[in-house]
Amino acid sequence: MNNRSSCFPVEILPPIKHSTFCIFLQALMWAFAFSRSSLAADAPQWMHGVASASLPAHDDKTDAVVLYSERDVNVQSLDKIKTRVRVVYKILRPSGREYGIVAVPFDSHSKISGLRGWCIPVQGKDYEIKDKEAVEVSLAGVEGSELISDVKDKLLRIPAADPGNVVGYEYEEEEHPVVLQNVWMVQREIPGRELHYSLQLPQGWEYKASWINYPEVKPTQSGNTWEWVVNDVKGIRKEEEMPPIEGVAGQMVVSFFPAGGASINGFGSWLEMGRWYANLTNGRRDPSPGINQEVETLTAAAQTPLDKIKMLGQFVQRDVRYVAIELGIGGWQPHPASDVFAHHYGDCKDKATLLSSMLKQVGVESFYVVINIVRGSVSPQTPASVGDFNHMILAIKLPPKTSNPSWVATVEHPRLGTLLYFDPTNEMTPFGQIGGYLQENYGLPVTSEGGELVELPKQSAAMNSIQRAGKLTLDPSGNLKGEVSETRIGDRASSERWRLRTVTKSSDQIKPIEDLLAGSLSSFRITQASFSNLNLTDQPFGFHYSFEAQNYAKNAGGLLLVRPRVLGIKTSGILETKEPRNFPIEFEGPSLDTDSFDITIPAGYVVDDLPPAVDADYAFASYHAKTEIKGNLIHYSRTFEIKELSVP
Amino acid sequence: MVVVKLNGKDIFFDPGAAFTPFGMLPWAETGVKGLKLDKEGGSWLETTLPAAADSTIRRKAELKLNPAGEIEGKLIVTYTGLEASQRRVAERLADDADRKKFLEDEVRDAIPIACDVELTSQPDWKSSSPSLVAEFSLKVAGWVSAAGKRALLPLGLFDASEQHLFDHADRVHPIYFEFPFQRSDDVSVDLPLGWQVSTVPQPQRLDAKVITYNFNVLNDKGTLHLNRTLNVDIVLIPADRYSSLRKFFQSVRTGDEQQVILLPGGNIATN
Repeated sequence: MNNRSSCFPVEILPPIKHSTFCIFLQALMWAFAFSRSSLAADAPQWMHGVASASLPAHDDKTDAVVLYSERDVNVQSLDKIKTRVRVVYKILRPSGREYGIVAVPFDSHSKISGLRGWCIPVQGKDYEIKDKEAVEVSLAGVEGSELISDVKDKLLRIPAADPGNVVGYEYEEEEHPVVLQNVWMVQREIPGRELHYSLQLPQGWEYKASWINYPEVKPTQSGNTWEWVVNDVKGIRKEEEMPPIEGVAGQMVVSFFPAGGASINGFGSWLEMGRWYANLTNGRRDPSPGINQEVETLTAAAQTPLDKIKMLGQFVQRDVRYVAIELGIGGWQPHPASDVFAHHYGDCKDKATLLSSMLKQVGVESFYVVINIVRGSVSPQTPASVGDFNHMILAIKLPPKTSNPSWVATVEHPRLGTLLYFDPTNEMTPFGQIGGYLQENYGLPVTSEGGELVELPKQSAAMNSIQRAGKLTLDPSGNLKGEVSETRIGDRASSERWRLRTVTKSSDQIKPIEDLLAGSLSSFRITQASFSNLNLTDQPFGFHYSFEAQNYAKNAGGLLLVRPRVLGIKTSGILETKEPRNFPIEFEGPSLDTDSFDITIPAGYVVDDLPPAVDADYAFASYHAKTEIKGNLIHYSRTFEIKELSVP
Repeated sequence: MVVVKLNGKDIFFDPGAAFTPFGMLPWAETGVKGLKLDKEGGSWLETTLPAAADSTIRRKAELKLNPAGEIEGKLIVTYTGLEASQRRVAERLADDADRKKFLEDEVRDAIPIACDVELTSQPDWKSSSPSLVAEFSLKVAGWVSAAGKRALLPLGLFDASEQHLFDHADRVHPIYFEFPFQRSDDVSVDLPLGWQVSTVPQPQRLDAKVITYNFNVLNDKGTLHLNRTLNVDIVLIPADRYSSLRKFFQSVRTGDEQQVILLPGGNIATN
């Protein structure tokens, strides 16, 4: 929601196509333009050895293939892991040129060295480009992103990454790991021919490998080194509204355990990951005198415990600015509640920390819930892995024998009691509800005992809706005028509130209405427009507008042709393709939209014909539209409901 | 660039601008001031601006309507002048599959509803000839809709790209078209046997001098001929003229939304 929810650092993965990277591609080109000092030098034997190998199965839309990749992980101690990475691509299409740009993420816990790239062209001599030609970039400064982060990318552009040519690179990484875990992304957007992953552990250490979205592969062992090899891996072609790639790509999660049992930063289950995080956040929620004083002030007028919870929740939601400062372990560990309160800013885990601390002062227990803002990134089949999460919310334990029917984001937990899920980072969602991105999503509540992967509740479709009602009059020339009221709740309201939160000019404030009208009317003029409850998130948000549409109805051969569905289009073109669908379609959340238009027809006119009613009922959605005559009124009604969040 | 005096007239050439038709300049070099160098140090001159008719998108479709309300047939799109060279430049590094998708997406984007479109020819991407011609097979389901005992056929088959040009009432900055251009559509639709044309809309003609729009429908013994032309012969329009421009394009859209009323021989499928 609103781009403010991704609070954890991006997990360090092997170079892969980063969508955010593309934004900065143009800006980087100039930097590369001044650093083109590639040399004619032979590519290494490990590249030449695979350069003319047969290609894995692919079609004519495949941009490139991975001919070979190798990831050798050498765990040297609790505090040091060395990894060598080698990758070779064959570029197949012009749009595959981007595989000639190597992006290696790193942060203050890791150091990249020996980055080198080569190109073996179809004709002519090989090219080489070395580490000193790489540039380091920090991708920050986009709305909702971190203010300060130490995550950077090291970029190297391999020359002549043209169709038919083979490009490759290698580098070494020395890491001081936050956790003793590694993710091997076996599957990606392009097919792979031969992929290797090896793991070398100190004497007496053990590992646990878990596979997801891919059949388990057994390693070969030589001493204290294990090697996994997969061949002919299919690529994942992106489809509109598909689950996130992390949720469908084949991958292996490897956890390492030192001799003698689990370490403080090693885990092989959700329970143990919860313990790791509980330990990492230990003491962070301790209150300060200032927090205690603020809690007293905020809750002085509260009549009930639930009132207190709501007031504290809304305080952190609205009065603590979202500002992320994430350095080193700060990507995972929240700042102390006292600091967050003192500065009145923080990221998602900071806001959760402060709220949890404040709730404690009124006797209410709450738990961190680690989650990913993209539903489908984590499923019950996902092995315990920190890299799957990017956000933090709270589960608030409601006092016994208390309830509020409007607090729908609640579940009964067999051990923890009634839990209310709340996202203090989301400024627009009413207290007691959660946005569609969290519904039926899997999160990890963290208690002192550890973690447990749970599914968050789904709210009813009626909690997220647009109710549009119009009273309109048609004249004999076909001109239509009248007024429309829209009532929006749930995410439908939040999105408009977010869009209008900083808009001050009235001509800009009515742009959403102009957009809506322009989608359905060829010629119109807004004569009055207003909105209601912009900041009262507990109340429905409303648009109210009047308009005139010239030539709305068309005179044709003594007839006046009128479209009773005046506003709002519900069609979608995502399935209008000849390509077979491979992945489920994901909806943002349940929703229920209704339209009701009364059109008064000109005196002396009678209705000659009406369109037939449309009724479509499916398990995942329904659509009903009907046009009726009531005296001199044409009444049009429509309902459109999304019931399920995922359609296989 | 080079200026050549021919029959007393300056003609400009840019030898470095690939795919630019003879006698034309890339749009960025049109209508701008340049310094003509000579022994005396040089003098300022202004490059030429091509006319709207020099850069066109012409769409010729021969379609058949079936009783289910689908129109299907052959479409030929001809890009000329800067419309052709811009596309050649944009796709110069692409492969055949990319170029095919590029052209098919352009047709999809121009049609207001979802459609099936497939490129059936091999356009000449490598030359700097004045035109780039692409042929497609086209099928648009649900283009004709049922209205009781009648069926309605909207006129504007290729107008989607102009539907939302100027949605908002206010404008801060001037409007800048890269170069003058023309769109012309010639669409014929054969009606199913037994179907009759009840009413065709009156011809539309809007003339704002530098921008003109024409739409004409003819019923010729079971075949409808739809002819539409939009001519934009201006590059820069000040913001204070925005409301007039917006009104003009609203009228264009109103014209495109006119419908032919048909009387089906049997029942038309309802979607």
